[in-house]
Amino acid sequence: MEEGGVALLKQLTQILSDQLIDEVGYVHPSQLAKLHEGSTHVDNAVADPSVFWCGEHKLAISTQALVPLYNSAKSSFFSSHQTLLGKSKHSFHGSGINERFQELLSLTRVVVVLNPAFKTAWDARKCIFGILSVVSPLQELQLSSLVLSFNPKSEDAWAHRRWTICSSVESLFSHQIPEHLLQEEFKLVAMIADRSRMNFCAWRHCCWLVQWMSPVQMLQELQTWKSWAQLHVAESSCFHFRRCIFEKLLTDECPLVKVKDAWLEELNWIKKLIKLYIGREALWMHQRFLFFLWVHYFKPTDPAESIGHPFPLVEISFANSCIESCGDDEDGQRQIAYASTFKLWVLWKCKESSTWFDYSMLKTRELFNIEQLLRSKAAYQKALWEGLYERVKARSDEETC
Amino acid sequence: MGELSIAKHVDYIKSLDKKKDLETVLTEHLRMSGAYWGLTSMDMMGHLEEMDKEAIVSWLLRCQHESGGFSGNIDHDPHVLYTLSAVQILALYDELDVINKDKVAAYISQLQQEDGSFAGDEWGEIDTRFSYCAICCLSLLKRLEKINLTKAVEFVAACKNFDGGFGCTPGGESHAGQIFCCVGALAIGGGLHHVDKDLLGWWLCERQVKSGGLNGRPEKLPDVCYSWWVLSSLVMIDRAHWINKDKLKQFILDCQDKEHGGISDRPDDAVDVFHTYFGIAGLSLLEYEGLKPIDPAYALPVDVVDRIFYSCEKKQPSH
Repeated sequence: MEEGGVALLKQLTQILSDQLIDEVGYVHPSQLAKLHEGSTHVDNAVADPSVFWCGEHKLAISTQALVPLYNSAKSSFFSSHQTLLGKSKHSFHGSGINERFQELLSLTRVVVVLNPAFKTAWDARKCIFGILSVVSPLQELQLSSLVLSFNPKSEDAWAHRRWTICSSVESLFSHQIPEHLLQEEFKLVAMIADRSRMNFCAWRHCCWLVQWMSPVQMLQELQTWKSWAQLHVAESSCFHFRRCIFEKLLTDECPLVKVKDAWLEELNWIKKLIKLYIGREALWMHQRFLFFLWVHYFKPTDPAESIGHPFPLVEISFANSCIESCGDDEDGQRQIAYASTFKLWVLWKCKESSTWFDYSMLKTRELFNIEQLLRSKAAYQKALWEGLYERVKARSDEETC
Repeated sequence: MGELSIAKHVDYIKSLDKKKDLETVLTEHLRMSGAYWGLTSMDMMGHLEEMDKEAIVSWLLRCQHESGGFSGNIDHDPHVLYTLSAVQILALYDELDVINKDKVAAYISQLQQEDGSFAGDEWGEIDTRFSYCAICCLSLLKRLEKINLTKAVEFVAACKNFDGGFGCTPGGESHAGQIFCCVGALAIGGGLHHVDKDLLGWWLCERQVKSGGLNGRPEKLPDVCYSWWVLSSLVMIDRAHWINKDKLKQFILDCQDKEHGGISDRPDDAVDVFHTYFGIAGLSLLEYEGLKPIDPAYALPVDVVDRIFYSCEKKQPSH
């Protein structure tokens, strides 16, 4: 192990013993120099200024020092890990054992900050937590947040979070997640999703939280996230989170009429967004979902109820109005393709649920039209459109037989 | 149309083990999967014998733990992801007999939960990716009876979404990588009837963007790795003819580094072994000339899978 690495590891371990550090960044040595020039006060005087900058609980590390630092951290971690948690681990009653566990905990902190994908280090913490109960949930959530501050897609940091919450929910909160913790988690996701677009892991975390939410909380979150979604209409995952809430509401003991109100509101909102933001796939996917909900939950049982304005026809007219008002630019072409595909979706779902709906009438009127539009606006997907067209036709032929 | 620079890619994969740059150092923990990607690529290109089999197998065996599971590298903790990679590597080399199959099977079966799902390791994270690893691995070891397969299949089926896709847990967002795992698990586990093939085929084919590449979710950029995740799923559900194969082939070929070898996620990005493997595997599914065909469910060359399931003869002892 290089001498330099050992000294740097000591410094970094000491810096990271400040539990309040909430942001880490890896910077080029020239940027590091600029940070030092620009600040009058540094938090840590012992740290090598050519490698670290530390101020206001923010830490910058020079990218040039990463390899020696990491190698040194890794070998110290493995040697301590082997002794304390490995196959030939010593008894947990030895003298000074607490200090040695604390030492290992500090090393795991350094290792996951240097390499968030180092799962064995995350898991060593869980292991020690189990043996000593010295690790507080708050501390674990903070460490996870710290890592997510520079690596927002770290699967292991998100998983460690879930593990921490699960273990605390069982022991501390009697199987319920307290409101303030829930709100903290949502706050974190919103902050991360703002900076890191299309972050599957962050939104997965939101969907995971849904299991602990009451119907009231779920309806509330649908409202709260609206403004975020409006500003990020390409974030399909955010709309999926809404779908996740709707599906959960429909399996929970929430009165159907309340869900239907939320659904109606969602429908009007999404249509407004579709008209406003031309050619957004995420919006049209959500529109498909809302139609799916209608077919499965909100369709009137008595056909007489919707004579005059059958809902599928309303949806087809909406898609047609989108097609008619589109220009021929790239966004417009996409909008036309998505609107046409949506019409295909409506026909497909109606047919599939073999409703009272007069499918054959709509079929002859629409299918040809849809195929023409798709072929001209999304010609490279010709094979798909032909395939789907054949399937719809085959399905309706079965019906007439 | 440009061609696949097989000789360059072979050199690139052979060079990987000598690298000591930051990226290599930071990915040491998943070396087992890296080895699987590299070796399977070499086998598809017909150059597997150029790798040092003995060194690889002896290193691999050092990654096995008391529990029977394998870790991504020596000293790391075992995980079902790396256990599958290790078994796949041994399958490539026709060396499955060097491990105690019952022990590996025992490690995997204890990861199954009440609801049929699988944890990735002792820490309990649940994901349909782990269901795939478990089912694929046990099938290669011919030990599927060690788990409750009916429940395993039911759990995967419960992760199906309104769009025909699958997520990591029930209610999870559809994602092409996740879909591969779920469809693969169902294909091997005999549960493909749970898939709405038309609907899923529709969603998967909509992943193709104008450049010909495939993305993994709506609104995302195309990425070579989805050539494998999407296309293999389409093959398993018999809807591969719905995709524009010529455009996809072109997109993958455009992602090659023709000078130094290797394939990247998108044209002109930096290459890595992960995307090199998925690019070659995608081209193999597209029946690219000069590549061995790959099995869409086991993610191993078809002759390797056939050897495991259809050859009755025991391997000749080596001298």
